[in-house]
Amino acid sequence: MIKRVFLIDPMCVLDFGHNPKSLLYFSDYFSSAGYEPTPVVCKYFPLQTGDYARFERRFDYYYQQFVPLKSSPAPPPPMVTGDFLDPLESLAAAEFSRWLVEDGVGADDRVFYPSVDFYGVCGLLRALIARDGQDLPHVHLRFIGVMENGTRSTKKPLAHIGKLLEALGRPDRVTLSAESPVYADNLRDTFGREVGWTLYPLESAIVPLPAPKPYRVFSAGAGRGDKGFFRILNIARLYAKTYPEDEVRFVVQNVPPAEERHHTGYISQLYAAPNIDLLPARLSDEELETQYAASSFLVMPYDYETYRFRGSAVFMEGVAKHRPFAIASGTGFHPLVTDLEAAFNCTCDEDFVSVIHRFSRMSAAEVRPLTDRTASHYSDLARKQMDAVWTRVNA
Amino acid sequence: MKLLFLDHAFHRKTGSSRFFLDFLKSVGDVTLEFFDPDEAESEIERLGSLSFADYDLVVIWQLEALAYLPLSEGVSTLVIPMYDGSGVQPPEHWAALSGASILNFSYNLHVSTRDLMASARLVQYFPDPKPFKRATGFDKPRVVFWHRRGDQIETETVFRLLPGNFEAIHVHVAPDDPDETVVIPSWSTRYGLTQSRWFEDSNGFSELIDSCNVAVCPRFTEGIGMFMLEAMARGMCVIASSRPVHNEYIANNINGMLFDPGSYGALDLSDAARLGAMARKGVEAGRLRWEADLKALPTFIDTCAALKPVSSLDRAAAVTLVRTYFSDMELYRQLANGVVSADPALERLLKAALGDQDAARAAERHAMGAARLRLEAMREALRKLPGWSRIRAIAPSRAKIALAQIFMAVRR
Repeated sequence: MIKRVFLIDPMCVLDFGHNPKSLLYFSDYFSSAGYEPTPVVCKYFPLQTGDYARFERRFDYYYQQFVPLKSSPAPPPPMVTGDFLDPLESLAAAEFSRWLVEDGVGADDRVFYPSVDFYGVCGLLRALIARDGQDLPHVHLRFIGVMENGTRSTKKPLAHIGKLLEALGRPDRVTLSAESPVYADNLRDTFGREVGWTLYPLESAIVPLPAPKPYRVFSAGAGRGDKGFFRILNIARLYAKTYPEDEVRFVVQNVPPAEERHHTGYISQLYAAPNIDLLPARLSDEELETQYAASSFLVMPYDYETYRFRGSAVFMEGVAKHRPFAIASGTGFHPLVTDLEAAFNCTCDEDFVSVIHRFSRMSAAEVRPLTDRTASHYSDLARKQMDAVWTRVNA
Repeated sequence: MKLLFLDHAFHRKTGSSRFFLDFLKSVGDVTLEFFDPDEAESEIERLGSLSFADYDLVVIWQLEALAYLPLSEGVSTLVIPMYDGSGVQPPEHWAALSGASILNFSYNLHVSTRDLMASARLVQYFPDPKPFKRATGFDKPRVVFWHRRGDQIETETVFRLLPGNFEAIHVHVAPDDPDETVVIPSWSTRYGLTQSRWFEDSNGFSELIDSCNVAVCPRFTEGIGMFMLEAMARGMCVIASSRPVHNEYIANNINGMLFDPGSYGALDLSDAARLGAMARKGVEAGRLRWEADLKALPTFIDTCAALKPVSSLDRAAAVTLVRTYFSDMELYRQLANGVVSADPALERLLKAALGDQDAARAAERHAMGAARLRLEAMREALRKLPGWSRIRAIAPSRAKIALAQIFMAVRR
């Protein structure tokens, strides 16, 4: 009998960003492993076409205070009695309990949570606790260091999740992983139990390098300070100064239109720089693919404080597409990057400039073996990790 | 398509809007009218006699407040404001003109207006760099500065920016205000400073710039900045204030140098050749973008012509707004606030475009504007009373002071 895997993501609510795509990546992995995957997402998720049509839209939106939706959902109903942190946790617990019953989720099923969010995971754990150890599905929680902290009702969200994990017990039925090795270590300290680490299970999908001139360096992701948006100008300036003869263009996504008027001074400079192309904040999947295909190098000058535990979807997708890249040192992926031949940890803007220059001088034939080996190393590692995690889930 | 192009009378002489007029002529049948703000009263009367309804689209270059006139007659209007004239206008100014479409030559102006107007488009003009002679000999920097606004950038500013690190310096003294008294400090001749006043034809000025390789832009802000662009097209090292639109064409130390007029130090010209080469490269790429924009603009013009404004303003109110715009900017802004607060649709538009905090501050301004509108209406009604001017003249000053106090209380 084909076993069911439910991929849970109540934060999958926007038609862009990593959430919808990561559900597809993991669905593909589970399909190829012989399971029947069903993504279960927020009921406001708008995409209805292609693979997104089979997403089960079920959960309310719990994060209006952090990432407001334009069509704001109804406020949560008053809290039912119990030791809930706030009405949102109470709502999530009720919704997960209902979902477990309505989809008939039982001991033979698997629940995979690829990007844990605070209220969703609390709701799930409370719904499972209410089952008193009976008919528990196999559950795997994957932490990426983003929305698991998405609450204002406690200063220690991870401690609250840890408390619920302890209350549920059954570490044989509930396993954990983190997206980056550094975060896995951190969570192990926090929860006091085994935490693995799992990358996106992406297979190598080579996108040929474009024509060498101009050499396009892409900084993907809507213009966010924590993704290095405010460092790109200096990197481009340093590059122009250090290597004036090179035809290198930096491609960066702008901030969302609503935020633009707060940064016009900086954005004017990006707009003025002849070696920078400014793209809209939001790109469709197709437009993003076009940018990857047109770029020869990826640059990720991420902020240390935000990314010291976190990984990056852009990183994983870039590797799978056989692009060399430079990332700020000290991110959650730092140890992984040191093992990859076409990836570099950079401590300062000068380092970024130097790595980009080195690759811009290399022919496609010289770059190709490096990116091939990097992509291959990555997909082997990602597959091994998922297989190991899944062996434990099924144990 | 029948187009009416309303332009600033100053451009009769400078011709800096001619490139756009030529473009409009390729789109339709254009009637050209100039407006001289120095003669605003009589000019407004003259414009009042025009039949705007005869045109498919009224295009207003720079003097966007004139748009109230065609808008009040429900005629499609496109405004093309310039940052140096309109960059500091508050959002209510644009909301009051929201029946018009807008074509922006400035990114900064575009960001502050695009959500408030009937339709909006951003373009960036670049001259064709081919006819311009390439600047050379950067080991010996030869600086040219055009003195246009002594209250903004003067010869001494240039010496502070480039304290002696040049081979030669030329100051072209042609101020925007012909009555401005320009004094070039006598010590500057020790640095080999030369100067010119006016040339018989544009070739003389052009040849002068060709003989230099560093250009210092003459004003804090510009609408398009032809002097800057033509210097960049020559591959000169261009130095300009860090305010728009300079900072939309020059990225500091990538293709030129910017300085903050409020706080600046000496600049280093050792990289002038690289900055100049990058400036030229930027103009070459920008020119291609501008040519692509020009191909797309007729569609935008058609869209603007198809948008028929519904204005709550009658002709008299429109004339009052235009008159105050040219005579008393503070009063004009209050009246524009009043126009917005009197129309719930405009209020909503403004609120959506601003953040909550800005919207709260705007609400205060609107309340003051509404009071001012009522007061102006009352004054207008009183003026129509027979003998009012006589009563006003003989009223004791104490009564006038009391009225002023009441007005201040209303304002508060």
